[in-house]
Order: sequence, then structure tokens, then C-alpha cells
Amino acid sequence: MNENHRSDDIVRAWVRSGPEQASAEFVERTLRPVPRMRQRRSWRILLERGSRPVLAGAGAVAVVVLIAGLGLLAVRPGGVGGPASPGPSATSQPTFEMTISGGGPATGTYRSDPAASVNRCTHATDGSWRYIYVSGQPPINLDLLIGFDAASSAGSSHVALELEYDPGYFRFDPADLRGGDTAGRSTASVTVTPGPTSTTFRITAVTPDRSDGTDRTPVDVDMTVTCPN
Amino acid sequence: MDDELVARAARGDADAFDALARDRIDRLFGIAFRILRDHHDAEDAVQHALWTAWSDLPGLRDPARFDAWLYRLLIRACYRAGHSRRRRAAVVSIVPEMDDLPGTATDDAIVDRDALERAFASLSTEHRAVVVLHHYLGLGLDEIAAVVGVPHGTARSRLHYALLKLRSTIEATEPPTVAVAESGR
Repeated sequence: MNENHRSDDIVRAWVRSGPEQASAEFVERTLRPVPRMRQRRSWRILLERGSRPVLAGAGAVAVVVLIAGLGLLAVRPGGVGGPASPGPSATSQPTFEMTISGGGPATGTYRSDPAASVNRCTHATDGSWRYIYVSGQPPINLDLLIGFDAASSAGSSHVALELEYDPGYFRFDPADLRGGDTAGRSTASVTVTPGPTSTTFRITAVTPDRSDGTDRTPVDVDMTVTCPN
Repeated sequence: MDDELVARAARGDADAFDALARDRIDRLFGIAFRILRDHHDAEDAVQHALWTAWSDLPGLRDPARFDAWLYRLLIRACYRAGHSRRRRAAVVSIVPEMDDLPGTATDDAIVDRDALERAFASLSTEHRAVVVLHHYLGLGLDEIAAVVGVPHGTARSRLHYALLKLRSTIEATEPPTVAVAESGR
């Protein structure tokens, strides 16, 4: 028993050691965009709380909640907005173009706005990519994750996206990168085209529109994202 | 005081939320880092949790529950980061099994830390979270269960299993001083 206490003391001391402060740069990077972020409408919270049992797990819930929080957006429907098609960015900013068709309240084409408040690609050391975009009018929040092996045939479905766009919402995660979809709920594929200065991702998916908190008519998503290397 | 800030933030007051967040962000980062053992992943989880908190704060019915709710958002963000990392790169596959850990040590403290790091990494994110909430935040099992969102018994069994594994690591890496003394050498 005493041995257990001693071991627990060692564990406790080890757990308590380590960094106690976030960097000032991180604090500012995290809190600066908040005033521009939209708060979730309470009716939507209620709807999503009511529908939680259909979600695949706590991870999915966390993802849902997250992006929804991300704020105002910049993607503009109908071709208004940023560059007509994504390509290597001279300003090293990521770009995207997305067409939503087949159903839901926001059928149309959306493009990134260079003035977006958050427009960031990160390439993790394990090879995965993440793209977060928050900006503009009407409000749109986008969170895209590309699996580390997406360039291989085995990993071509390793893509997850969550998108809130006024007044719509959908998400897909068929490969369970973030907590996942229920089996068969969505299909998605990604092709990866590396370039000398940027990497381009072409993503196609079919997933239920979920604008009212319940899976509805399937929407077709065709999206191209270009991230600076 | 904080209840008033929470109520103001829930009504859309970004300055109130800023004050709440700045007061807590170091602690949140400390928790996330200890669970994920990675600076970048920890920052990602904290950012995710705080942005989610701002977004969903209008739906928080009891301002007094703000901290527990925020911890819960953070733990979920850590799960997400942990699961994503595990899927993206099979980190656990390079972690030695417990049986492979050295049985003796020349530097007790250093080997303890190294072995603990590896043993901790081999635990699931759910188990690591319980250990950190217990030993870093000092939460009891009821509080841990509420934050993590599992029954009391599940929280208890997770903590028990995790500590058992960590204890066995410590015992396996300690110099056999007691055994030597008892052998009468």
C-alpha cells in the first residue's frame, strides 16, 4: 500500500511538472478573432442537443460545436468575392472554391475572400493538412481535415469537412478522422496535387444537409483548396 | 463576479469573454499539454475549446457551471486531437510494451520520467484525461465523471487502470535496492 502511495506521488509529481503558461502569441492568436465570431443561435443549440444521439460520438459533437463557433464568414455565393479559381497564391494565402448543389438552403458557388479574418492552412509533421477559414458576409465557417495518406489510393476518402454557412450547415467524415459519420451517411474523396509552391486538394462529397439539425436532402459538394507549401 | 462575466459573455459581450478566457487559458493549456504531450496539439485543443465556448455560451443555462463546462469542451477537444493523431500516425506502435521497459535504472529520476512518458503515451486519451484531471486539477471522481461525461464507475475504473499501468512502470524501473538488502548480500 505504501508502495502504491509512493508510486502515486511520483506520478502526481510527474503530471504536475511541465509548462504552466500558454505563450502570449498563442493567447492573442486565439482571442483576437473572437469579437468577429458569431455566437450560435440558441434555437440551433436546442436542435443539435436534441439530435445528439444520431451523432457518431463525442468527437463528432465537439467538431460540430467547434466550427459552429468559428464566426463570420467571407465566402460569397454566386461568384462574388475572391479569385475565380484557386491556384498557387502569390500572397501565400490559401484559397478555395466550393460548389454546393443538389439541395439545401445554400446551393451555389463560394470562394474565399482575401480579407477573411481566419484563412489558415497547416501541414502537420505527420503529413496531414488542416484548413480553417472564417470570414465574410454572409457568415461562413469552414474546417477541413485531410488525412496524412490522402494522396494514396487507400487514403482517398480520408477527408473530413464541417461547414456552416448562413443559413445552412453540413459535415462529413466518412473515414472517421474526427469522430466520424455513421456508416454510409456520407461519401467523400480527395485528390492531392503537390506543386512547387502549393498543394491543391480536390474534394468531392455527398452528404446530408443538416441545416435544421437533422439529416435532410443530400447535397453534392465539389471543392478545390490550394494551400501554400 | 465571474457569473456576471459569464452572463455578459453569453449575451454577446466579447470583452467579458476575453476576460474570462485570459483568466483561464494558462490552466487550459496546462491540462491539454499534459493530456496530449504535444505543444501544437495542446494549443489546437485549447483554441478549439475556447472558440466553441464563445459560440455556444448562449446555450449555457447555469453560469456557475461555466468552468466545468469549459473543461468538458477542452477534454472533448483533446479526445478529438488525440484520436486524430492516433489515426494519422501510429504513434503508439513505436511505444515499447511495458514488458520491454528496462528493469533497472542507474538514474532513478531520469528513468522514471522517461518510462512514465512512454507508459503515459501508451494510454488512451480517455485514460490520460482522467489521470490529469485527478493529479493536476485535483478533481475527485464525481467531478471527473461530470467533466468527462461518464458514470462515476467508469471514471473510477479508468483512473484505476491508468494508475495501475503507471505504477507498474515505476516499479519496473526502480533499482532493486530492497530485494538486494533482503537477500542478505
